[in-house]
Amino acid sequence: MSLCGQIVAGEVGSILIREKSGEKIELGDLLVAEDKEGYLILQVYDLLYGSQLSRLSREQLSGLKLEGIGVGLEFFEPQLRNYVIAQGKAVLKVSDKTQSPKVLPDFFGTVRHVEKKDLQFLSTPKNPIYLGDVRSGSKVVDVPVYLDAAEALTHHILIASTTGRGKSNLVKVMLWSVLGQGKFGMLVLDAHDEYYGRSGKGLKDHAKAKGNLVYYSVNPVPGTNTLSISLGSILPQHLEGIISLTEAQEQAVRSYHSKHGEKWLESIVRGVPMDGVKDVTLTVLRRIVRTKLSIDLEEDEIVCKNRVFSPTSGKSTIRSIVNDLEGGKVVVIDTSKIGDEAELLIGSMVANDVFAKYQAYKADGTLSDKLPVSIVIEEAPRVLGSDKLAFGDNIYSKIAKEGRKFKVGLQAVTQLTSVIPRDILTNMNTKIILGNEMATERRAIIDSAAQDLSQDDRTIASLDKGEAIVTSIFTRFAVPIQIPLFEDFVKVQKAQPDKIQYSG
Amino acid sequence: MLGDVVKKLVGDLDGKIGEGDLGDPFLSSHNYRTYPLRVEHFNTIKAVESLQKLAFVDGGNQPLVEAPNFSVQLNRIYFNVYAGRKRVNPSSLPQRIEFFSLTSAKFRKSQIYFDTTLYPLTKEFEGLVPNSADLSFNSTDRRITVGSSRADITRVATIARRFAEWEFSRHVVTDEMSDRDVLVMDGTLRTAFTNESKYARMAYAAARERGVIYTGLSKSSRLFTTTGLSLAGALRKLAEDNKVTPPWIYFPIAESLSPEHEAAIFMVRLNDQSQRVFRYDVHAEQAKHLDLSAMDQLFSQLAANASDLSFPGYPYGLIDADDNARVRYEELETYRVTLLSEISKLGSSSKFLRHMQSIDTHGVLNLLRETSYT
Amino acid sequence: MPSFAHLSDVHIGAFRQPSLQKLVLDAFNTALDVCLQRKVDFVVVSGDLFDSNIPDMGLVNSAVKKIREVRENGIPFYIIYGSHDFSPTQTSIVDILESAGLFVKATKGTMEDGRLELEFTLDKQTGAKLCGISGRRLGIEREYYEVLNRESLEKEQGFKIFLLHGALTEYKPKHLAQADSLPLSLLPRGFAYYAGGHLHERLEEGEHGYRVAYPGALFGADYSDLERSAKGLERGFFVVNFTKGVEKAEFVPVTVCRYEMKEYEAEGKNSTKVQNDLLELVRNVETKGKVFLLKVTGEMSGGKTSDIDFQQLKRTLKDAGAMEVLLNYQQLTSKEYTAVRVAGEDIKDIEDALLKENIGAVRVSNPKLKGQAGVDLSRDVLRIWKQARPDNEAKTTYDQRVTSETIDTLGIGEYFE
Repeated sequence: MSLCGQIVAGEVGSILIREKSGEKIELGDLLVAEDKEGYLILQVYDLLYGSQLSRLSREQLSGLKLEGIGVGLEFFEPQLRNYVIAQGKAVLKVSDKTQSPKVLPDFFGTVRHVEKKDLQFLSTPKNPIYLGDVRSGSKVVDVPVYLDAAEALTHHILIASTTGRGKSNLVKVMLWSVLGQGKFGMLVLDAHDEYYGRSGKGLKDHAKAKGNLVYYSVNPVPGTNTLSISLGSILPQHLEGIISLTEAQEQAVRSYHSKHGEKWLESIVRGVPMDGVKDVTLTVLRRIVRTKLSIDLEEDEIVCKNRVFSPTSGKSTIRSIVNDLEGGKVVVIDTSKIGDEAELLIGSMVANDVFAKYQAYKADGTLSDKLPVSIVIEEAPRVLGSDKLAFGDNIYSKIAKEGRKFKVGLQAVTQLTSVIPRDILTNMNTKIILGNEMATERRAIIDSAAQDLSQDDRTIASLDKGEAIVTSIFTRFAVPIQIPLFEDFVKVQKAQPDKIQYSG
Repeated sequence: MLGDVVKKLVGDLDGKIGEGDLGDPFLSSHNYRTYPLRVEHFNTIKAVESLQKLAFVDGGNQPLVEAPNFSVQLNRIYFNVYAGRKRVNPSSLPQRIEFFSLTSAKFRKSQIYFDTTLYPLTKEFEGLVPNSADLSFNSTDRRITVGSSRADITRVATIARRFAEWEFSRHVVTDEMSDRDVLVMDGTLRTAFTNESKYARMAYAAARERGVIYTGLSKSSRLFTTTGLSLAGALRKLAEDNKVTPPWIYFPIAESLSPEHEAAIFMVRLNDQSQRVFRYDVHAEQAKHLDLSAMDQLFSQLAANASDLSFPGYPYGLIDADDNARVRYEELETYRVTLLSEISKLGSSSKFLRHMQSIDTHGVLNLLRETSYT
Repeated sequence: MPSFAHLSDVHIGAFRQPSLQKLVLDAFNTALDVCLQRKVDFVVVSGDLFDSNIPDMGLVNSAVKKIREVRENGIPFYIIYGSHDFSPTQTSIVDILESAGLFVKATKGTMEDGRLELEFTLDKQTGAKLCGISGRRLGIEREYYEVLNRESLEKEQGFKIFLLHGALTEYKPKHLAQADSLPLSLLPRGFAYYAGGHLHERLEEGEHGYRVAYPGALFGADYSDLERSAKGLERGFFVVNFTKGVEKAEFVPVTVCRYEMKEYEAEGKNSTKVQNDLLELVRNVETKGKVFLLKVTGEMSGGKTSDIDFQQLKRTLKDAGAMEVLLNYQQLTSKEYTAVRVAGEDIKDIEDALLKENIGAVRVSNPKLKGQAGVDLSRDVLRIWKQARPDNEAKTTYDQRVTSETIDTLGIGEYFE
């Protein structure tokens, strides 16, 4: 590829490159400056106008043109005198190995656009999660970018973006890779029922979906499971961080559980009186259960308006989900028709079980044989926000802080990184940044990134739908990527069914 | 009080610039034959298609170290070639040459002489600079003195650049130009210094041989009319009053009778969007043989080159040449440091400093006054 | 009002002990007597009527007598296979009895354009329409459900019963979380009654738009069933009254014996103490005419498990008049002899765990041999091999049968053609 610019000034972290006329250097472009030992990869984070004419002159000349004076007058050799200066930083030095750049590129050295051969160090890991292809500006370089599932999932992943930038699409693309391997349990709380592929392409279209994908919904598709969870499966600790209770209410809950065991919640809903629990507390608890979990008493029958919780069915659901996760399956739970609290409660129940099991495995020395499990939680501030954690940790924050030791990971999707406490953010060792218009949010992400993104505010603000930056302790630099559209990326992989013979 | 004083001043000034009688061009009579100002001598420049190339040459210089008895300068000469609006790349000649010049005072024949030696920066430049032997001047030479004082070494040190412009122009003519092309130097074709006309004639000879028209355009003109008006101003008034359509040329202004200035003088307004009028010298002999068609072509090309938005009316080739020939203050430091360190290696710093400090008071005062802008 | 009886998991032929085999038959006979008394219009059996595809012929003979009696009273049997009384290649006793006109298999259907088109079996007397899918190794069963044309079944009018043999994901109990199961979404909607089998505990559910009933094992088929019975679990079957829909589904308990159960914790005690304690226990317990279950668990501090004379204990109990004695000391261990520790209460769980552990240690590439699939396959093969040779079957015939069943189960028939 021909050169596109020349380094004319600058310093470490701010290298100024004059753009060759006709070569459009873009924000986020990856450029290569070759030297004796190999080459430096530079990333453009700002673009400025440069001119041989002073600003005042240019303004005056512009006035001439705008006001219709100066007809027939144009700039001679405009490309020589007016040009673009790209401001960039070196992100990686590549020789016989890759390393953090500690030198400036050759002064007045030329730069060219990055090519496939320059990125050969981005190899395919053992357990690849495909994220997308390398992006230079808005151009896609035919080099795929992967995370190693074995490491990245248990070191937690944060996906930060505002609405409409393609975060669900990204999650789907990632799940596709994981689904194919059957070695990583993934729990997905699908708040918009967009991952399975009820209508249209989805995870169900994977060749391994039959063995590796499990789907729960209150309105299941034939062959998938009804989302039904017995009331008896809910334990008081599952409510922690999901439903706020006063001390008196917490005490009451503990008392009911102690006395009634699995029927504690049912007893509350039925209004069974209990020594030491005031009537008013019981009334409030009943109201909380009704409004938050849609569980009520109608004609002496326990009914759940969202059809999820049941006094009788769904006794083995949580355990089955946990078993499936341990077996390396992707479990998608359609929570689109149930409230926030119910969704988080289900997640909390599974997460608590998984976490407890894996803690036990570690204690008895069998953890190394177990498959990692990761939980995908959307709108993460609902459980990881500072305000939510002010009263104590919940299972999600526990996993974020300690899960790595037990091979349990969290994949948090959020619009508001700024409300997530720092100690949690620093534990999310991979951050995938999509477009974000809000300056405070960009700042929060930049401040907690694995690489120095202090110059990339503008770049992040200009990320288009499907464009992202992957910053991780597992990547050599903050890699800009283009995430493929799931619908285009996925070729329906329905295996040809064997001819079945029926014999009654 | 201030208002009254200014009012009086302006009133007097207005009285002194009387445009009632424009007068005629005034140059020192024994060297020039002048021609009365006539509206018929205006010619509107017509746009004419042509393959003619224009080459522009300019130079720059800045002192590196100075003392009353020596001066080291960095000199630069640059050229470009345009065919219409398009730049033409040089075929063989380096586009820019650089050389140091060392001017030092020498006591000879009971007089102080300023001798200049040239040091081209690369081997390639060696054949392109003037002969150092031609750059020796008596400090009392009237052509370089100011008033009755001895010539200032700084002024003498700049002469090398001017000689180099002639010499380099000659090479431009022979190596890069062909028949009917035009060379435009920055400044008039008047030679001022001893030996300078030698270089001018060599350049003219080369031009004659190649059929190249040799010219020079001045950024400023201090020519007057017989009624004390500036010649450029008078011509503008004459053109406005008679509705002469720009761009135009005015010819003849004067004819040189001196071998120091082999030129026919024109005044030109090269763009209708610009009021500026410039003095334009054409080599006298060549001017005589310029027929109408040739003149149309020449000035059409020149006017076309003078249509840059940043400075309409002034040839873009000279804007570019000035930009690239200029030695900027910021560039000097590297050279200066190299020079001073070499001096220091010799162990001669104290000796040099003793002489340098005699003239750097201005510099100190400037430093005291300096405001830095960030 | 029309009515039908719904039985499942009778497991005729289960147990080695003749006394228990008899109790199974007793339960079956009792249930059919109730059907005769109540004059039900038909009987639905949702699988595992027999414990194997070719059970002991003596037991079959006894069962057939009763079935004939019911048939002669104009009460038809509508039946599906279960996971036990089915054979992939060999003729099952169910087929034989169907050919003899005693049963009607409610599993008629054909494959058309890759879809399973089930046909309803009409009970002429009541107009009830029945269809279903037999129990198999789960892999195959599920394939049938996945290609089942549900829409055509759903469109059918009238009182419909769907027979199935297998756990349903949404309804299975907690301790069966890991067991294979079908999701409700694979069943056709809109049937009045889903007659389930395979679960050995009674279950009735009406949520999610499906009225599902599992009668549970009529008597039981293994130790853990008997233990649950001893702990109070009621055994029986359903009698369902219906018109356009189910009017009433009554669980009819069937009790054919009394139970006594004792559990002894040996943790931290030496074998001598344990022996003495157990002897004391069995001497003092009232077991006359009862089925007695003794469960011994824990890690002894000294001695071997073989120091405990369980046979003596058994004899003592039998001498005291116990109808049958079942001893469970699978979870009794000794500090000195740490055998393979396997979690699990009964043999099936222990076998599963052992298989899982050992399969994990073997490197294989064929996915059918890996993980849970491998465990299931191994279990199936083991079940074939565990079948004792019936007295009336020649050795060569038995060998051939076991061999061919094994080959079919493993799906390697092509290599033997």
